[in-house]
Amino acid sequence: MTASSLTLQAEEGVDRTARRAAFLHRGASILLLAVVGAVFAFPILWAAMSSLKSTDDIITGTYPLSWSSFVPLKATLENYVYLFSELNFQRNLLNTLIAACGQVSVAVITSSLAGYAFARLNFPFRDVVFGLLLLTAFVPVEAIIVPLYRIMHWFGLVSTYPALFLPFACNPFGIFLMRQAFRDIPVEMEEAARLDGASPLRIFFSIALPNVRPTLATLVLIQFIWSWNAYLWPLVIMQDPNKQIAQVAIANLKSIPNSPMDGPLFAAATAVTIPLVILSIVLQRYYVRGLVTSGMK
Amino acid sequence: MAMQKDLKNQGKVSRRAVLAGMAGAALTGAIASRGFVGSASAQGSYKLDLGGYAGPELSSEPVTLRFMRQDFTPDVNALLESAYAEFKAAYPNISIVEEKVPYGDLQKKLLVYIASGDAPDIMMGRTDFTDAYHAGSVALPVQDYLSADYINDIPANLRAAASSGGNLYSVPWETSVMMLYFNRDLFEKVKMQTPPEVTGLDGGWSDEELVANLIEMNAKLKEAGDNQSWALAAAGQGNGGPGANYSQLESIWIRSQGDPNAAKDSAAYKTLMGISDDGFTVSGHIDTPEAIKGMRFYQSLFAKGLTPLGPVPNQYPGGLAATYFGGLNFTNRFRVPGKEPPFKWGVSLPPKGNIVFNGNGSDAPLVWSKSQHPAEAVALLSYLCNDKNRLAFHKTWGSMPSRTSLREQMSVFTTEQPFKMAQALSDASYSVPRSPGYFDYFNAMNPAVKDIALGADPAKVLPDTAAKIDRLLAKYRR
Repeated sequence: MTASSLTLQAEEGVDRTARRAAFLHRGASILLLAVVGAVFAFPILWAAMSSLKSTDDIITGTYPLSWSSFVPLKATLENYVYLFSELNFQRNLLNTLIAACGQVSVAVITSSLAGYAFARLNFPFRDVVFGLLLLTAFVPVEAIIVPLYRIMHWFGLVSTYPALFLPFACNPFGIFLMRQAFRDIPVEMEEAARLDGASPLRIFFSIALPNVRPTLATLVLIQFIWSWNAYLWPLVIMQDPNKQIAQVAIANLKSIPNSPMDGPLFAAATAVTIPLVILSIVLQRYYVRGLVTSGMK
Repeated sequence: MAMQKDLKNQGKVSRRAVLAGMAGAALTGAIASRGFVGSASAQGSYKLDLGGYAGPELSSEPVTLRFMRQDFTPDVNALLESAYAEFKAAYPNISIVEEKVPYGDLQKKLLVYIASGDAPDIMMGRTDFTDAYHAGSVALPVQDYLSADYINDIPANLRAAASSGGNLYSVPWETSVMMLYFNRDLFEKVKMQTPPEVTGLDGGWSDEELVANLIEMNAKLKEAGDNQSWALAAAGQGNGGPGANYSQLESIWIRSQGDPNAAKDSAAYKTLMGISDDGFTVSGHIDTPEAIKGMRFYQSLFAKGLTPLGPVPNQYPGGLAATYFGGLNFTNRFRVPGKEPPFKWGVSLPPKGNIVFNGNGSDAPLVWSKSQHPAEAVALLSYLCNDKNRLAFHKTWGSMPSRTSLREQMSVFTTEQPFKMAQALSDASYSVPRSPGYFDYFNAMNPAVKDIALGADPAKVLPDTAAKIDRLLAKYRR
């Protein structure tokens, strides 16, 4: 056996060991991610499966836990039929969608404009104002709910769709996110545009915005989820049952004492979760990139 | 309004009377004898049966009344909507705008509305907070709008629960009773005697007997190979599990150790009252030896594995528990053809400490003190509480009526054991400890009860909680 063949064999052995280690590492990673994913997905899947059971089956099958607690043995769509025919839940879903779209729209406009101003424009006390703005992020909505309600009442907006999202038009988190993203754009690009005679607005729309699309997608997704899951403010400001959002309608289903409506409740929870899951999957790529590029991650 | 002034002038005296009146039957007639009656001036001339309303004729101008309440089941909602339609037909100028709020958020939303100065004309409150409604000028005193007969139709202890400072702050809607339900099949399975099915307050199990029977039940279920069923179901009130609802459920264990006939400065009397006469001190009331003893019984239910340590939804209706503490709604629900539980059932008294205790805190609609249309708001509320509407409501919803004449019209209250016992419990029931800060009181008691259930020493937890509540109530002193 020559020295070169020995070297070759040794190298093959090292390669095999490295490949095995890589395979094991990858396998362990996949297994870990699958377990974590299952832990997070389990409650949602359980709710979805329970929505296919009658309320009586849910009551009798939940305790003690067995495999039949999770699987609908007599699958039925009666909860969905009841939800969308008797309870008119599609109206609540539509109201939630209107509120979420409204909030996303105003938040994207105000956050991108303000974020750009804080990132690129020079004006007196810019950093102080930005710092004060960030402070408002630490004030919980519960603490300002009465003044907010009074302002909405003063504007005559109580029980209207705009009241659901207008108070959150100025979003410190969104402004911070966009400011970070605009700061990452090379200044030279804007200077070149300025030398070519572009106005600040033109620079904003033609140079800055196209370069922060992943962050915008992040903002859209986060705002949509926040609005979609909002509960306390819609509960307080919306009095018209025809304009009430899905989350409050779901809470109504849960709160009827001694008359369980578990079947419709799980059906409603499932129906309200599906759009979020779809949106998260569609925007996932942008969402992660946006968080990375904005320095949030 | 002269009568209202008189009542207010009597406030200092009547407040003491109201507090003392928690001794239930001892109060009978006391408030009525002070002239707690309406004018009855226009009664009978209205366009439809406005129940006990005796105020001025309703406005002919356009009026919009806002009503905030919890959501009910669709059949109860339909009843209310049909009642609104009937009211609107009689008074076309009066529109009713209804707002349904999740039950657990009713009081939160009420507080936001009041603080914002833009509250609905009618709001579903609770008699638990009557003193808070009075102290905060939240609710309109309604006695001047109601007839004497109507007010006197409300049993005295329930009237006291809805009154503060000599004023009646809500129109009777329903009241609550807490009874011990049992699963007859499970008792038969382990060959044990079921709890006594009595019609009055005598003959039920004591605390000791309840715990002993549940221990035996637990052991025999396990002997029979039944590892699924529990001796006592997890509480279904509130969010379920221990500490779910001190006002209606867990307070039984403490306050039943008290004695309404003991000297006012005795620990036994203070244990029953749960708070000082002025409504600001609970030390010496919830941490007495009697109270600690009561909570030790409660704790033993968990320590001995007789009931789950956390919430388990629908355990009793699902047939997986031998006993359960529940209201009259269950009796009514179980009697509906097609909705019977999958087992034979029965009902007995809650366990007796020194007395059989029942708390009567319950839903109670009130009229906002700043309503622009007080007469119309009280009239609508009275209309919803007329005999026809109330009987339909109780038949569908299943709760306990809060007027004597309604019970008399429902034959089950004279013929059937669960209803007769419920009536006896209601007649002897007590309001929650009277304080403008009761919201803080029960918010502190619920976690304390949970801690005790999970093993904390009642002799340490109760004094600590009492001191905490005292601090919380201090802010209500003027």
